[in-house]
This record gives sequence, C-alpha cells and structure tokens, in this order.
Amino acid sequence: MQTMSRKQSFAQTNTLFLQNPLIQSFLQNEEHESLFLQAMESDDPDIHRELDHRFAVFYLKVRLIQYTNKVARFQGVKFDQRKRKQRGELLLDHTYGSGDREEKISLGETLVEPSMVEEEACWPLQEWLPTPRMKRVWETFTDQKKQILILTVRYEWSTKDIASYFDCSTQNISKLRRQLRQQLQEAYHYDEARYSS
Amino acid sequence: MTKQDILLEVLEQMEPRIQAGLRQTTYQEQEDLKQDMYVQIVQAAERMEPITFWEFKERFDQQEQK
Repeated sequence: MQTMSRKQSFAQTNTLFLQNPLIQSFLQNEEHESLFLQAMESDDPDIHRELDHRFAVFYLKVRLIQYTNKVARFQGVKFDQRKRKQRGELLLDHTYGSGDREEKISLGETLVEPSMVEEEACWPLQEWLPTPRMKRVWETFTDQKKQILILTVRYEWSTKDIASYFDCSTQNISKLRRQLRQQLQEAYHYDEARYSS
Repeated sequence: MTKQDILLEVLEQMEPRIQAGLRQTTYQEQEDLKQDMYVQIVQAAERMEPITFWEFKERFDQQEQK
C-alpha cells in the first residue's frame, strides 16, 4: 500500500518530468522501466546506482548522436568553404606562364572551345574569391579582364595562348595579368588587415 | 560501459550519416573531412560529462522553477 502511494505520489508530483520526451524514450526500454519502478519502490542504493548508470549511458549516447548529426550536417559546409578559400589564395599566388612549359596545357590541348570564352566572363570565379573586397574589385573588371583571369586560373592558359586568342601582344597580356593579380592581392591584404585587427 | 565504448558504438551507428555528410565535398577531400569530423566528435565526447537520472531530474526541476 505504502509502495503504491510512493509511485503514485511521484507520478502526481512529477507529471511534466515523466512527460519529457527524453524520459519517455528512456522508459520505453523494458529494463529501464523495471529499474525505474524498482527504484520508486525501494531505497536500495544499488538499484538507484544502476538506474543512474543506465540513464547516464543512455543520455550520453543521445547527446553524442545529436552532436554527430550536427557535425555531419554542417562540418562539410564549413570544410568546403575553408578549402575554397585556400584554393582561391593558392590560385592567385600561382605564377602562370613560367616554369616547365611542357607541364602547361596549350590552347590546342584544352577542352575549351574558343566560342566558349565569351561565356567565361559569367563563370562565377568571384565565388572562389575569399574576401568581400576582392569580390568588389572583381566586379569592376571589364569582361575581357575577367576572361583573361578565368582562362589563367581555371584553364591555365599561357600568356602566349591568351595573347593569340585576343590577337594582341604577349607583353600586353602579361602586363594586364600582373595588374589584375596586384589589384586582387591588394584587396586581399586590405581585408586581411581589417579583419585581423 | 565506458565513455570510449559509448563513443565507438555511436560512431558505428552514425556511420551512414557521416558518409552522407562527406558528400558535401569532393571525393579527393572526403578523407580529410572525415578526419575533421572524427576529431570534432571525439573532442566533444571528452568534454561531455555523464549526467545521472537524479541529476537530470534536479536540473529539470530547477528549469521548471525559473
């Protein structure tokens, strides 16, 4: 009679607690429920210790599953953004048109059709630029400048190939590329100094 | 059951979810991302303190009173 009243009393005074989804989920397991009922009926420290231990394991698992789910969902996005930023920095710091010419892909070997070059100005290179100021600087470039930059970083065309395509001197393209790179680098360093201070 | 056992069990259980998350990056970088994820999860597991049944109830009651 006394046992019944203890259980009933607990249930009456802890309605919200027993309705908690986590507690309900824990008590759905028959062993847990039986242990919980025994703990209600008895003051045996071993039973209470066992209930505590089972719940600690159960709750830790739940928290770890929730955390793992969050990591699986968001870590990929963060990781990809970080890699994109690194790629952007590496591409812009790369010296094009020098080194082993054999390793470079020549105009004839690329998969890019010349007719595609006009469309290249729309290729979203700005998405790969790591800082807001670099994106703004990119927007100020003419279509031709954008094409030169995209052909350089995306397809690794040499200065000679680009000059041949635009029918102008290699010196001109080389000078333009140096200017574009310098402008983007200045924008990058400006943002870097601004955000690190 | 130790914390390490729990962690291993959860990682095994969540493997398909982790694999699905890896598809957010390129195939070449999936191994790096997987390492990144595991480090995050292991570090979080180290920080997590076990909470017993009656501790949980105490915290629940305290929150209800606020």
